[in-house]
Amino acid sequence: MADVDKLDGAEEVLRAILQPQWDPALGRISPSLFEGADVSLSRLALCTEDEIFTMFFRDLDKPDRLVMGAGQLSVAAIEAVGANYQEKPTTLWVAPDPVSDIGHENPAHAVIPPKISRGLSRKLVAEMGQPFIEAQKYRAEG
Amino acid sequence: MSTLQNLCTMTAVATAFIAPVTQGHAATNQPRTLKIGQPHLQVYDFQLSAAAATFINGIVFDNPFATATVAIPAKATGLSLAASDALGAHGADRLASFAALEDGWAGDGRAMRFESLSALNAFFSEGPEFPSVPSVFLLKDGSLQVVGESASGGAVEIDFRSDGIYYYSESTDAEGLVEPTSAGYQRLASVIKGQEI
Repeated sequence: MADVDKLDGAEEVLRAILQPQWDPALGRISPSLFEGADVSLSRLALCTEDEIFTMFFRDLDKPDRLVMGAGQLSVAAIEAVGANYQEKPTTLWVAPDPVSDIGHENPAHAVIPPKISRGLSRKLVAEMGQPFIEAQKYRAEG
Repeated sequence: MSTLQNLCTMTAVATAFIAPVTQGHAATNQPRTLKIGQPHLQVYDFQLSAAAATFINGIVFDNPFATATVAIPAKATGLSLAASDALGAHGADRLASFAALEDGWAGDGRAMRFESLSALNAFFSEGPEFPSVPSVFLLKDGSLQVVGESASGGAVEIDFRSDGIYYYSESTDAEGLVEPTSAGYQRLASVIKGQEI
């Protein structure tokens, strides 16, 4: 029954990156990007990249701190990072978590429920495919 | 608004750490640009009153009632000269943007802790030598994080946390916590050199 709430490994997800977490000029992402529990992701199987960025801008942008972009990785890669983490092998999974709050609807929302340590977060950041997706691409089109 | 009032206002807003630079200039009450390649710093010469000396916490003057010169970041981030040198104008800009953020900048993200900034300033005052310009990030707990490379090439992470200074070195796969003391900063300098500590 528990498997019902886990996404298939083949799914691709996006992790939003905020301005304080990304230094594009020097090409670095904070290794803390995935730290904590219930880390938010968005599923590319349910919404397009364009639609997801529109929701990022709607829900995450603040006047002094904009969404800068997103990193992409597969659910299978997330699971593998946890399983292969030598310091402390960890079972990671991605659970669907659609948001239905009026004005903040996001059918593509998902989370990584287990708490992620700095070490694991560092590995997940390294696993994200590059180049990262720049938000400006969608702001310009919008 | 006088220079001193201006300075005090910025100091109060930022609760900032102001770095003393030199002494002995005539009091002009006009800011002038610091000519050591620091476009984000302005230098102020002014005569300190007893009240002002009491008000401006964090400045150490040999003679607090004489003319003094201080350099402050133009955006009142409280970044010290040494830290500004190490992070560059780009890093100073990023830090200024962090200082403007309030609680909730990322879900439960906390506003920048100025104690973290003080520790960052103290760290850079010890002269750690990154082989390339490091990046500065803001963590969700309000701590500042510096990420750069060690002399041996791997990434180095330094978090200026409330419970101490966390470090991680990719080249040695070492991590730990040091005290925000001169001895602690020296240990971090060794990490940046790629040495085991």
